[in-house]
Amino acid sequence: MKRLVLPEGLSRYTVTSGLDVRMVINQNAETLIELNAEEDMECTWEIRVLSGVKATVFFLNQALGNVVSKIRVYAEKDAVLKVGVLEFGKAAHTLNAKIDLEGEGAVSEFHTAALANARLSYDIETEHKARYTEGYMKNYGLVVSEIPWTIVCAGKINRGAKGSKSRQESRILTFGKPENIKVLPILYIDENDVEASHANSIGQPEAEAMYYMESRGLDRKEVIGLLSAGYILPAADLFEDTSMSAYLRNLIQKKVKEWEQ
Amino acid sequence: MALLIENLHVSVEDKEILSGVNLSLGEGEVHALMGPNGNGKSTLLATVMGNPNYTVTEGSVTYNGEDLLALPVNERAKKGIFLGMQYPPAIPGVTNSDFFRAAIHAKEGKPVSLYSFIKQMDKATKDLQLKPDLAHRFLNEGFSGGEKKRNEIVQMMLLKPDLAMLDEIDSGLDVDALKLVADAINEMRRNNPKLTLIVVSHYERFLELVVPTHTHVLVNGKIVVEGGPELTRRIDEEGYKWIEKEYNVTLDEEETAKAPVSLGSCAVKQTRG
Repeated sequence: MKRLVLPEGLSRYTVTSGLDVRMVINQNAETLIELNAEEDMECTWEIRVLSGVKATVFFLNQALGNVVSKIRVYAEKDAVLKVGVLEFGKAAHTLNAKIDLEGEGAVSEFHTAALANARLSYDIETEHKARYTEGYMKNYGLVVSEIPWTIVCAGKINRGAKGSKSRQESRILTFGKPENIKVLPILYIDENDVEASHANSIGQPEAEAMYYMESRGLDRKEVIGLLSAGYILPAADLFEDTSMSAYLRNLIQKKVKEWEQ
Repeated sequence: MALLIENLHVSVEDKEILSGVNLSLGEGEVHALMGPNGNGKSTLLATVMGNPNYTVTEGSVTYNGEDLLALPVNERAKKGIFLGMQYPPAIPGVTNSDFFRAAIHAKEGKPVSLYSFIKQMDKATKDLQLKPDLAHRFLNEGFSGGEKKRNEIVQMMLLKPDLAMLDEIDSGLDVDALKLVADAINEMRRNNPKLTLIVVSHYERFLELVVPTHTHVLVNGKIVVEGGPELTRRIDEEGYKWIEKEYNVTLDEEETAKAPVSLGSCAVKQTRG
């Protein structure tokens, strides 16, 4: 297992083969991890965010081979962690993520966004182990043709984790059959004084919205491009570093344009 | 003739809504389209725009001599046709600015420079007294009824159409906003003398501000009365009941007596049936 201590500020890494990494974040940091393997690979990420630290860990998947990602997060007291997963991979991605909000006041946001070109399978759980913790899980994406995407998303609030908030939202726009997309939201709540919610929408673009946008001169592909960017672009805002946000925004626009062609 | 509609029959799910509409509009004219609710006014505008929910079963629509019915919706927009919708949908995830820039690009066939876009957008939002953050908000999402209608006019200002159809664009607007919208429309008319308008409105007040050159009354899917601005005034004063007597048509009883209409924060105006 490799040990990685994130430097303060912005950092960037490229992964081209399987890895087993233990990441310790002891100061405010943001990092972009690009998954660029040409062959199949499996990566395990253990991320510990120390007390009071604010961090963003963002995975950009542009791999050509199948990827298996196992992400385990531990957030200590008052830590704030944003994890992003942006999918532009050409092959399947199996993602298993577990976020433990261990310390009081810890906050996590796990945000996935995908322009799905191949099968995606996600299993994400946020467990609230301490009081006043907040866990947000968001999955947004666009599915081209008949590609399957499964999301199991669970929020678990343990006894004693009073004042905690668990929210999850999955919004998938598909141009194939909606039944290819399966979203299973789960809430386990063992405490009274908490807030929890989930919202899902899966479907094809609304005819009314398509007509409205076409009535302003856009053709169908241009409309779909705008709608798609709208689903995926918010992931770029996980970074506070504006240059990195801009880089991701440009990349998303480019990928959507490529798809429009 | 800018727009020529001949013997237009339109159905929705096998129910005929328009039953032989004839209408001709010359460049620069302002046509008020009036009539009781549910008699086909919105259907007519949506059909000209190309809404796929409406099926043309007979008749023709030509714009500057070209068969409009043969064109898809976006191509009609590129020809300079604009529909300000009665109920613009909210589209989360798409910002106003991204949408407007894409629409201008599509209409003009080339990208609009950021400087030029911001300048136009600033002017439009200021003219209509919309908040400066409009550009960054998602399209119509969380907008009040009045903001949605003003946002339609912002789009009209940016897209500079030659034929604009405004479907109850005044509903949901208070008296001050009504004047802002009317001023913006009249300025567009001054800047583009070719601009032709079809205005669907129930409010005489709006048609006092955007004065029609022609008025048409649509009843049971047909235009039964035509005239000038005096016709809008008569309808405002007398409702539609007199049309039944003078033109031998049958109106739905509920629709003939005009209900009290809200003029927003200003007043409530009662008209007799």
